[in-house]
Amino acid sequence: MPDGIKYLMKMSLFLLMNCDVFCSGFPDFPEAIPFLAKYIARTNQKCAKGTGNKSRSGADIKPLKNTNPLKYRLRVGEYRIIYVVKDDAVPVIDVFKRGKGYTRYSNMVILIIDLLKHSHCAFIHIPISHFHNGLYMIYPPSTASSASYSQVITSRLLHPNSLPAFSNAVISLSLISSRFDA
Amino acid sequence: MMSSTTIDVSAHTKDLLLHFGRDRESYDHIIRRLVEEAGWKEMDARWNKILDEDEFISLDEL
Repeated sequence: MPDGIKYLMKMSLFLLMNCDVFCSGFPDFPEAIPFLAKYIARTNQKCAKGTGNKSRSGADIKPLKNTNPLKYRLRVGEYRIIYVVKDDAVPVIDVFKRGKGYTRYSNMVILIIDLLKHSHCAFIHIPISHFHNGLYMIYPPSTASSASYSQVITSRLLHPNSLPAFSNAVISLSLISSRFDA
Repeated sequence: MMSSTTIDVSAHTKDLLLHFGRDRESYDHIIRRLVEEAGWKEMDARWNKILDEDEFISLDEL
């Protein structure tokens, strides 16, 4: 059985709906716990406050001055997410872990996208190449978005052989929490 | 304090480095800055290639 499949079988799922978190254990992914806990705590805090701020979530977002067209770097825990804003879409270009530098394109472990800053954006796009090799589990937007807060969680499993930089299969989880209704 | 080392460059390269230097900037700093800029340029080119050539799909369509 490929390692990727094994990993899929072991992998834990995160369900973040209406600011409540449901998760199973993280036997092979302990680093995700503090990271997600921090993120979720922050999200919960905002939800509890009933934030009316539609322009920015408080996310750590920095424009990358040396890029053209201008890219943005979103920091979520140890992870860095690179994206651009194109009209009403936000293509997510890259994700990597801190310390691996901006040169380890393939070293993606977790993808968490918090694009509340761009709540006006209708779509969030991710490169299809991120989906070429692997298995995916995709959760539809929460229908119970009483706080006008729709979220999508996708998780993706990459085959260890799909990208040379991977020594192990990795999971990438995407969390899109981007839309506050007007 | 980082340890120092010596590299052998031609006089022409040294002049070029000096050309890129700013006010009282050390060679070490000049080289570091240029390397960082080149790194960003390389990353940006890679990101632009993804933007230009990759097919993007909306999560809503998945």
